[in-house]
Amino acid sequence: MRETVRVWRLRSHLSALLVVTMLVTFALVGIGIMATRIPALEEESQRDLQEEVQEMGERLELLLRTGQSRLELLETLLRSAPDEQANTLLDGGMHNRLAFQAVYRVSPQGQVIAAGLPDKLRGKRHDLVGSDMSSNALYRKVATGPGVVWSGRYLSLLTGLRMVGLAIRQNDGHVLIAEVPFAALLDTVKVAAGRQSSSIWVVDRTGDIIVDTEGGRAERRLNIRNWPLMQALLRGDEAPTSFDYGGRAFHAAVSHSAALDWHFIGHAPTGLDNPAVRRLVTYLLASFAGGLLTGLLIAPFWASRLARPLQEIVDRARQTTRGEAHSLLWPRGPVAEFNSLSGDLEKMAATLQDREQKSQAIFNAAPVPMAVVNDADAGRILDVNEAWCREYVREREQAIGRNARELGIFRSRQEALDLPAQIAERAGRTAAEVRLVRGNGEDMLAQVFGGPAAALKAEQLSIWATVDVGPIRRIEAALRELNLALEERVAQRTEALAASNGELSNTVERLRAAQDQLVRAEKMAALGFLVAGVAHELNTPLGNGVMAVSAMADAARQFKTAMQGGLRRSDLQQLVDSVEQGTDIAGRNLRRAADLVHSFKQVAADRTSAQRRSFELGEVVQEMVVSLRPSFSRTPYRIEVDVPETGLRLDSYPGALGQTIGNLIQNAVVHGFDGRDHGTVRIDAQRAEDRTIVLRVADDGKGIAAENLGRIFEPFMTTKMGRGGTGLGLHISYNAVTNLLGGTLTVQSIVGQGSCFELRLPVQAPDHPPADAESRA
Amino acid sequence: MTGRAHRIGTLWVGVSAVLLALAACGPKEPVRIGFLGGLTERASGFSEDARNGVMLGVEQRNQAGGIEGHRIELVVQDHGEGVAQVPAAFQALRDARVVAVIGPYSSAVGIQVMPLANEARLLMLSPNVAANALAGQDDYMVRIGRTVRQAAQSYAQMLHQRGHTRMALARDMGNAVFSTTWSEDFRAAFARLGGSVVIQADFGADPSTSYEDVMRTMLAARPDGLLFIAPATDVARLAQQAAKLAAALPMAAVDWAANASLIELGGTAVEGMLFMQTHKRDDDSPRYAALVSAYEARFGRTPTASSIAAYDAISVLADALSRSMVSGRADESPKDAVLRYGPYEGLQQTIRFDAFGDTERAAYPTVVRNGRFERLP
Repeated sequence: MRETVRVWRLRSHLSALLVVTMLVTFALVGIGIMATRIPALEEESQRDLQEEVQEMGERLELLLRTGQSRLELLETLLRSAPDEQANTLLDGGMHNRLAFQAVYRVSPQGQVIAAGLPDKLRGKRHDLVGSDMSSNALYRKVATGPGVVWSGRYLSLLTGLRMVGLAIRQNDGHVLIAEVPFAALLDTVKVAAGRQSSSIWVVDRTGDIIVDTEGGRAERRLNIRNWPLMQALLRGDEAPTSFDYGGRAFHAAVSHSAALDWHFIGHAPTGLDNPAVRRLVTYLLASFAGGLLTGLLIAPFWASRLARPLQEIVDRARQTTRGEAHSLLWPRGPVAEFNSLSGDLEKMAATLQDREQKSQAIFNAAPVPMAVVNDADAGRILDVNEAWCREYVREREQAIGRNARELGIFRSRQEALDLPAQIAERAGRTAAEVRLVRGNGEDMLAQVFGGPAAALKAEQLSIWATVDVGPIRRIEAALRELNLALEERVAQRTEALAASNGELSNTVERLRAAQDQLVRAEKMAALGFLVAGVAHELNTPLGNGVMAVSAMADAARQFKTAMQGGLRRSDLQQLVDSVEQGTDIAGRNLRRAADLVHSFKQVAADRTSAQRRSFELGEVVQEMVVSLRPSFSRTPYRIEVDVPETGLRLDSYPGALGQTIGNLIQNAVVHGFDGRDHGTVRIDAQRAEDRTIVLRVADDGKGIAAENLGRIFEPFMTTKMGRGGTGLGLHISYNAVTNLLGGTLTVQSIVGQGSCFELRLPVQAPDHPPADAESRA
Repeated sequence: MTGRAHRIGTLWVGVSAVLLALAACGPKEPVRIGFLGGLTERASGFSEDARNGVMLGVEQRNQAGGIEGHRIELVVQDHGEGVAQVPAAFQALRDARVVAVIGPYSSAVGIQVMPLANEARLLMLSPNVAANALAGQDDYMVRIGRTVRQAAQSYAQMLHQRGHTRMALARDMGNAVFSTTWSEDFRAAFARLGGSVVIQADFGADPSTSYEDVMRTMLAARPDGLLFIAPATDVARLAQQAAKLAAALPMAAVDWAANASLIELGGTAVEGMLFMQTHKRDDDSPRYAALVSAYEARFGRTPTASSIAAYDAISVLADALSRSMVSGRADESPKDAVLRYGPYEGLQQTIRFDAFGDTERAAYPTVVRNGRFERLP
């Protein structure tokens, strides 16, 4: 839900501001004055009332004393005068500041014995004289009580009306009673009191209002005995200072006449009924109304005067927006802020104008043909740039104010309709390709870009840009053809290459077959060489054996022959010597052959015999050296061992390792020290950084010739072929180290200085796959 | 916007509902009742006592919730001495928009007021206007007290029983209608019983008339009893003259003279004076005792016959209006209500009205003894 904001003119706002400010000020000041003044006024009126009532009470007392003095004087006169003059004396005593209505002289028995009356009532005298007053309340009071008694409720013997009575008792028991009508009494009091503004009720003990100063409005109509005020007075309490009567509140002030037992209850209205308060409120309301009126009269003029310069600025701004009156000056007025605003707007308008010119220049300078179109007005063209005119071959003036259809830019009506739809489909700012017609009738394949002009949204403007894509399309077509030719050529080449590749592959295949054949031939050659070696090696001992056995056979034949000719001791001895010699020779040569066969078997590195276990390298080396040492003891060569007894533990094949070490030592002795009278084989071992164990077997023999160094681990590689070397020792060792132990065996040698074989062994020998076992089996 | 309008609408409905509820719950329109009496005339004591009776009745009724929730507002109007100011006083009551008036207390005023009341269709409920000229008419003057004829007859009866045959009458011609009617009715009733009025001495029309002269006139006819048709102050002073002249005759006076002023002004002279009062002084019923104590507490004096009658008048009027409201007859005039919804329980007697608004009341012989009124057995 959107709250609608009430829009007012500035003038109205200013008027409202002025009026409201003034009224609020008046209201606040008024409330302030009322808040402070009204209580003061009320207090003042209460005080005035109290004074007035007090004064009235005092005046009355004074008056009563006057009357009393008068009666006392009469009493004195009567005492000395004879009885028959009593009536005359009393008549004479009537005239007084306090007018008596009648004065009676009453005997101690309560009988009226003389009466003083005003002139016109003297005829009544004989009615009165002789009357019994013994039941009269006033008389009874004065007869039995104090010498002077006033009564506020005396019942007149003369008229039967209630009035004020005064009684004085003489020493001899006679009583003088004077009657004073209320009205006479109070008129006198009022005249004496002078100013009388408040209403005063005179109330007797019974609560009856005897007289009021309101022209009798309350007189006798009310009995206020049950009012809290009267109750308080009757109890002798402090009287309340206010009371409610007839739905209105009054200030109250009370004074008391002791003589008459009368209460003077002055009352004045409170609140708005209090004239002073009403006057104040009326003045304030009048001021408020006056303020309102003045405000309503002045505020619109002033507001109008204040708002006029702004209105002029607004009008000028509107003209500028419409593009009218560029040259006119911006208005200036009496309000500085408005002038500043006007100045700023002027600058802004100039800036906008510059920017518009710049935009126009950019628009015209743009190489792309562009048109600004008002969509809200059937697509009428508002502006086109120079590029557009060139591209479309049309005049600017011709285009502005017409739409594309009217200009005949589209070839058909349908295309004109389709284009915006296509653009709309692609959600606004995008492009479509369409065939358009130039002013000179030429066709043009154009890409049309269109979209709403964001800055000018209010008028639903859109900008259309056209790019002639005809030439581009032609170049694209040529490129496409070229591409096609190129692809064809590549295909041909690829085919040729594939053929070449096939040939090459065949060749490679043939080569690989040839290679295999070569390898096989090589292997066959090696085998042949091997067999030749083995045959050659075995030939000598077997030949020797055969020869020895032949010699024994010859000896046996000779013995048999000899036996036929008789057996001689020498013959037997000769046979025994021959058998012994033959057996010895045959035995040695057969052992030699068996050794050779054993060695051949070793070449295959028979792993079945190899036992894997965890061992210390030092132990194996030591065992090997100990087993070889007897054979060294008869030679000039020495073995030095520098291998720690512990700390180089391996999980490997100790047999293979021991054989390798033995072969290396054997190799050093047989080949390195051949023909030398001294030599030392040095064995040391340590743990390398990569946790492998490095074992070196070095000699200071004659070294290995460089041409043999690369082939030293090949089988049957020996420089002593036929001289006791099988040529298999190092090959067997190499196989054992690299295959079974999982290590490496390398050699370094300098001719004349010695050789050094280095084994690098993993702490854990590799597991050998079962295939080996199968092959072994 | 609609939400805001809705809110304002809701607020408006709420405020209206509260205002209506306040109006419904607020105090009902008060019922204004007028009092018309001569509070500053010679017989003011009588009117004053009546005013007090009405005031007490109104105050008690308001304390008990008013008339069906409507407070009673009493408008007291004094018509002064004589009848000159009566129309103005009546108009003042009309201006105060009273629905009914208790009063007046003098038949002379009654005669003056009746045509005005009839014209204004304003009920005047008078406790003791007793002129026969006003009785038996379908007018707006409804009487709570007896008619003059009934009163005069009861006096004739009583005096006859006490052995009087020659009565001298003193008549206050200040209230001539009443006095004349009364004396005529008495004369007729007394004559029927074999008695006669030997003289009628009139006074009051001329203020300078001497009471002694009146008494001498009465005594000159050598009556065996004196009957005063006058207010208390006049009766007291006539009695003073009788005492002065040593008449030594039994005296009687109309019941409306039986008040405190009589004793105060009459002193020993009024001792033994006889009355036939509808007011039963020695009533010991709790209701009466309660009223007496309430009255004394309120005004500091004892209620008189006039107070009681006025109290009855306001009770009748309030009861009638209340019953009218309960029965839902909103357009019923107070006069019709008073006549329709009887009988009413008066303080000492049940009050019934005839079709003309007149009522019968029992009367009790009373005597002044030792400065006090006492009922005779």
